[in-house]
Amino acid sequence: MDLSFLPEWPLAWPTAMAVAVLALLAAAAGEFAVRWLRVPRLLGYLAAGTLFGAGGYLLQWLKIEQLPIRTLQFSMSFAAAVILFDVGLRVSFGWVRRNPALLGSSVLESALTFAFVYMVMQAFDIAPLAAALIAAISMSTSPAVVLSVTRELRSQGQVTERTLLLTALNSIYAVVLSTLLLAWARVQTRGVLDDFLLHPAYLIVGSLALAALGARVFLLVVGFVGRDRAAQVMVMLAVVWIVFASATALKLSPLLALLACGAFVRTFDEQRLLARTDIGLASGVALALFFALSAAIVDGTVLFDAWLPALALVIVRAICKIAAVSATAPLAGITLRKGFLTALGLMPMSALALMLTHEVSLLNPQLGAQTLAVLVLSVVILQIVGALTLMVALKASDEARADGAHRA
Amino acid sequence: MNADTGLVFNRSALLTLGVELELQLIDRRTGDLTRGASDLIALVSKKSHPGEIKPEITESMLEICTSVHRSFGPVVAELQQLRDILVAGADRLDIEVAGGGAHPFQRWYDRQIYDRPRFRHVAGLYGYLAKQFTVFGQHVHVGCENGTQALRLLHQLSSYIPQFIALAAASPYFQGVDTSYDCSRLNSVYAFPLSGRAPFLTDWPAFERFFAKLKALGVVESMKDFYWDIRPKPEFGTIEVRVCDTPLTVERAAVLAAYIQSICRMLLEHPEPLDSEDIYLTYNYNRFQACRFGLEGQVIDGKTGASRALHEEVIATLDACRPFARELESGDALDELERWVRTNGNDARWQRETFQRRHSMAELLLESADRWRGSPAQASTEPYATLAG
Repeated sequence: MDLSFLPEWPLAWPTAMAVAVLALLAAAAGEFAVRWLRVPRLLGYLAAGTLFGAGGYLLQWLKIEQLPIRTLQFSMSFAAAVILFDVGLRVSFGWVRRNPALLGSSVLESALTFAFVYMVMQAFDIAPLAAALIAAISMSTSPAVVLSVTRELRSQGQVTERTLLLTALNSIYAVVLSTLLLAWARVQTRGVLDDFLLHPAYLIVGSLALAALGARVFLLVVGFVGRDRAAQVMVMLAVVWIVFASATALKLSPLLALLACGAFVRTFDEQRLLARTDIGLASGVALALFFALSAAIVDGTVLFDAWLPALALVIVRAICKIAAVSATAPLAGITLRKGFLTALGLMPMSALALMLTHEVSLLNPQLGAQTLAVLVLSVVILQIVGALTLMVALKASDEARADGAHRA
Repeated sequence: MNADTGLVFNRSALLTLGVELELQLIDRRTGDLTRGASDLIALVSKKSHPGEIKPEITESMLEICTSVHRSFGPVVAELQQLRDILVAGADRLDIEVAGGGAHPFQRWYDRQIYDRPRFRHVAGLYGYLAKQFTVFGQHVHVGCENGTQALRLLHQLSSYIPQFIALAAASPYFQGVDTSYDCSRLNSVYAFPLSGRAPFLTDWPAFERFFAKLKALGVVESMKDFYWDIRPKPEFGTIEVRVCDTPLTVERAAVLAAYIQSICRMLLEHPEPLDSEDIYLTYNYNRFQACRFGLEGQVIDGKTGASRALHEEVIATLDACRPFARELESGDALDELERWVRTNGNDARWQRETFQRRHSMAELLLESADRWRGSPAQASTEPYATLAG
């Protein structure tokens, strides 16, 4: 009997199929989280990712199938790119001009976080450079978690807007500072000082220039396609992809380039094209995939390598952000209470911080491993706890939609 | 005065003027209504300012009220001052403030009721009507010396109501569609059971008896439960004209107030007879014409049966009350009013033109917010008369 029409064993799955299976799991788990646990949808996505990742290990252990980690990683990066662009769109840098105390608040919360986390890491005998990198990255709040929860609750108001703004700003500081630190590391190992500023300058100026170019292209084309939602989403995905791919090819920072690209779109948008542009659905899909994928590929083996410093980081970071943002709230035009709630909104960290570490590892693997050891557990804790504190903050400030917010 | 009903009419200086404007708070990015009333009020309350800045029924609206004035000049100055304080505060919170009688595309089910006992009570009683009631009006208070004078002025003023509606109309778009009305806001008000016109009672004791009966029946608790087009406001000692949409600029709001004040003065000096309720025969018809067609609405004179367009009606009234306006130092306001009627028409017309130019309600809203700030408007150049012809 000729059975050659049947597929050969083992089956050759296209690697992208793993993403599709995960997406299916995530959609169901997200709904489960909202309907039965009454927690943010993203926790369901994370759970789906974790299950999927565990299943992957099992298959690998049984030597049945290998998870296509590279495909998953790549998909996650692209999803992150979409998220960063969307967060950028929501951030009004004009606001900082009109209310400079906000910038003060932002600089203070990041500076305090950096200083104290650095000191605590030193206390745990972590090498100065690694400690500084950990401190730099822990300044950042997760744009993905903030975007996901504010979207889901359809929240509006000062706590929402300020959380988004401060998140974008501290993410930018984190990228810039970690880049400078990396450059410093190279100077230390090679003992030459002349290129200390050259690399960060290339990276920052280059990323911003690319972002500005991307923003112009986006506005040009989106202005031309008008109000067709599908076309708007297509333009967005194309620009994000072009900026992302160019940043990678030019060895720039995709993180900075995409965040800045979104913000530039908003700044350059004199014709107010954004008011009629809606890419919300696409960014919702990107968020779901991002959380599921990040949980699926997280390296569980290093999770508890440095649990004590990780816990200390979580606590010190929380205290610094709460103290700084609450204290500056009256200056920045809101009540102490709303300042405190905004600070709670700044708690989340996510795999975006780990992607920053990933950029570090590419340039300096040893340093990357040290920072990762502390950050992985902090991120795992703070994306769950942070999502919950943000939800609590938005509800306590009455900014979440009153009824059926979870069903939205 | 009857103390039981709580309807003591406090005496006011005759023809003093106060203006209340309900305003919308707009998201700078999307043009949608946004929540921010309590934050903005908390912020501006730190600055000393004349008048009042108060919360309204939802977090997306607030109200500014002037103090009591005698003429147009101080009213416009105070409104500008209040506007500047609001705009400065809103800038620090990254939101926009705008006039207009309704938000063109807000979804009423997204509105959050402002946290105050009365607002919660209203929301509980009227259900979705309360949230759909996110419409924005201008209320003009005119001082009266006693209740009977107030009621008599109220009924005489009723024949001018269509003019006020047409001049102030600024709510052509509602819930995302062109309603075809210049003023769609009053249709929302009409859904409430105690809306429309006040009963034809021309002396205060009779009104007190009417109120006491309704109160005993449990229909109303206070004067606040009446949503009439004009209602007496005994605690202020005023009558309150409530049919105007909030205009897009404070200047326009002040001009409308001065026009109402001038007509009141004219009516006090040359009273019109109030011998029969027949003065209301054409009231609802004329009111509808004003809401639907604005200044091009055709109104019918109940006495003569003559019909004419509201813009002609306004010009005729302007001519008649100009001497009284001059006595009130409001002559400039009436000149300005005549200029609009002859050139640009009402705000509803500007809103439709802006929408046609920008093809986007969000952009219409953001341009309205620009106008509220006092930036030069993209004024229509086409004279109104050619459209009317």
